[in-house]
Amino acid sequence: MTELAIRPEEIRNAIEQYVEAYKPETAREEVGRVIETGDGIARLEGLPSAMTNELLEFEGGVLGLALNLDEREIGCVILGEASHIEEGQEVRRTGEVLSAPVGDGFLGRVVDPLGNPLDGKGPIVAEGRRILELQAPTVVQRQPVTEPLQTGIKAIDAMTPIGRGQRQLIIGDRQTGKTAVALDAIINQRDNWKSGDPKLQVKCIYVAIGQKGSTIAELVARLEETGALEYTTIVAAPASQPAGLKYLAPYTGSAIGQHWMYQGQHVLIVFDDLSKQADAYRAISLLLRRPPGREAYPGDVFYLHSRLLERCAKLSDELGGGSMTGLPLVETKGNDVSAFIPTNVISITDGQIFLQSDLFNSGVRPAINVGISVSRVGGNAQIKAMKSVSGRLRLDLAQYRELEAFSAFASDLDKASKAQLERGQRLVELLKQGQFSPYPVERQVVSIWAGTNGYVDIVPVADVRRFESEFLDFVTRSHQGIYDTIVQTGKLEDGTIEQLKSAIAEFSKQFQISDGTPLIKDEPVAAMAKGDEGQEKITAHRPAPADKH
Amino acid sequence: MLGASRTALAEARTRLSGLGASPAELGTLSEELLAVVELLGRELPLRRTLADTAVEVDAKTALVTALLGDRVSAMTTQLLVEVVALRWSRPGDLVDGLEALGVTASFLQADGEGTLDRVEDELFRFERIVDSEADLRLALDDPNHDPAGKRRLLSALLGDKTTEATLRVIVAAAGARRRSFAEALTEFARLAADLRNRLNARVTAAVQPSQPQLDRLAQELSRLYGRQVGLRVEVDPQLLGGLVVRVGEEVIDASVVRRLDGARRQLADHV
Repeated sequence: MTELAIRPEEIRNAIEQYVEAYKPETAREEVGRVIETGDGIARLEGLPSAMTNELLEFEGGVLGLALNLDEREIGCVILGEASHIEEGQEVRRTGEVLSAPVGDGFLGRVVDPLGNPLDGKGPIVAEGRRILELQAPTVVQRQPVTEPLQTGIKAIDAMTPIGRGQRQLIIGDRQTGKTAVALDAIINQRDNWKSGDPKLQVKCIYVAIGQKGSTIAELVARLEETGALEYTTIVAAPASQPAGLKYLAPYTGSAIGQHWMYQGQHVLIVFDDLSKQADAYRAISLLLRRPPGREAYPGDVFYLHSRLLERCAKLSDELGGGSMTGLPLVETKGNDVSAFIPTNVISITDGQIFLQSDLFNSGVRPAINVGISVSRVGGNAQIKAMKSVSGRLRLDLAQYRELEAFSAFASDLDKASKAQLERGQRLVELLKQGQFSPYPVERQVVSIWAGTNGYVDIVPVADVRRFESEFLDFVTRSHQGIYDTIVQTGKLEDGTIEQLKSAIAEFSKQFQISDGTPLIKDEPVAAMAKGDEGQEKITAHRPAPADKH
Repeated sequence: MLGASRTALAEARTRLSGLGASPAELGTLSEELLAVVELLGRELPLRRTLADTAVEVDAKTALVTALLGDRVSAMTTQLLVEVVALRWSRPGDLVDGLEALGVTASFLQADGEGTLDRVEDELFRFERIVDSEADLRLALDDPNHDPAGKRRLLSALLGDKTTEATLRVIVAAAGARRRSFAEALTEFARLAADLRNRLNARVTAAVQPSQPQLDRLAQELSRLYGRQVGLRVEVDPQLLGGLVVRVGEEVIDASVVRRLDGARRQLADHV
């Protein structure tokens, strides 16, 4: 082993050279003074020309955000370590209104709400900075949502479809799979990304607000495992961060996304979750002594979310036709969607996916409540094939849920209701889907076609999922043409339906249900009527004995 | 001060400078105005009535004349009547306005006697002394201390070392409402500078700069701000070298300490 010896002079010289790169500049600066600090906020005096949302620099380089501009003082949120800030310290203006670095360098990275890397992969080269509080695109800069954004989840793509540029709320109690839905939607963009076609590619942003550090680490690992991290940016403001950063995180994510959107690209942004952001904003507002309103949220908590979600848009063709699809998450308490923040966000978004805890616990995953979940614009963004097969699905399921509650009390039902129940049970089975197993749209179409047209009605409920997956694989093996046609035309034409019918008939014959017997039994042979039976008669012909002579 | 009060104060200042009083008269005027300020600070109902825009001007005039007519000089009564007739948006603004007038009158007096430079310098020096003496600062900042006691303390301390105007302004600063002694004194120093359309620059240096250096600095600052700049110099060896210039809310920091700090932060950021 060679001995590593560096003389102190060498080190000194190296540092000297390094420090020489620092060019101190002397400029006119506006300086104020901290008059009060605590709980992550500070009140300052002086700085008469400070602007709203301007970044201010405390001693030691910690940044603050000027939020309340009063006659004599400024209320400021400290973005960082607040414990070294003391009364009497000087505060300088930076002259910079809150902005975030943006660009392709952010793909595959984990950053904090100020755009600094958190993943230890070195500095990020930004293409520029983008101001956080920019107005959303105007009416003329937009166009209706028409392109689908496939989440890979059958229940969502069939019943509450999401289009590019739509805002779809994912709402539900804790531990009902909200994050799982959003994550699956991100992972499902992998094939689009691999295709290399910018028209198809969707860049993803995941904004984690107030989550556990371990949850975020797990999520990053999961994205990396599935190959989804390379087109995803994670903006993380874990629970340990001060409220100011949690409040900013969604805007930072949105700024990074808007940069791509205005370049004509497609973006999917997940805000996980907005109720924690509202809580952080409430904390800041109360500390800044803004008047509290309902549930102690400040008066502008609606605007907090509406201005954020308005930035998700489908831009007009003149602006490049880029889009930003928003998936805000909101946590409810006790499945109550009529609380303050949930109703606010429901009224802002273009639809919601309601995940219910009792469905989740009874094994329906994703636990989507079909009755309350809607998509107000996504229908136009569905491919024709999906539209044609899923038309009745929602209705059938909703009726099933109603009948199910009713049938718990009724002992015998008429035939039609029974058939409806049977169908419903199988459809519910069909829509169950494991996490991290997104379905391409053509497989979804075939699966739902089989369900809504009654081809699985003969299959026992316990075998429906196996039947479905084996059938889909069977089509891949023996009738790949069907998938190809659906993908190419986007429609389900009569010819394809005929092919599907023969394929499912063929498959049903070879399918074995779990007790080992074939699904389609051989035709039983009818017993013969009395008297039909014949009797074989044996007649012995014995030759006459020969003469004795 | 905002809105109507600001206009009223500007108007009141014009009236003051339009009086054409002699330095001696201005001294009395200032003394009396500041006494009225103290009175109004104590008497809430009086303050409210005088600033109430709903009360007829005649009624206010009558009130002022009846209450103060034979206690203060005719010139003061006349000015008070005029000031009270103006529109003040808050009772507190009326008192602040009268205070500014009283202090300005002292500066006008000093200007008439040709000692304004000296007064400004004395104010600055005394502020530095108070800043370094914690006990004195506490005594002057404590709103619970009797104003008469503060006046006795300051008279004993300054006695005949300063001009009459300086002492008056310092006493007014010690009795100032809602702000600390240092804040009030800085505000009053700005009034003096405004009087001559000048800016005050506070220069902190590691060693006492020479007069040619100061002249050059003043010239350079005047060019930068487009107005005459008066320098107030203090020495602070902790800067190690260089200068810190503070004009109003702005700071030009060219000290060695700041540069070292910047270099250190640069190292800490990247290593």
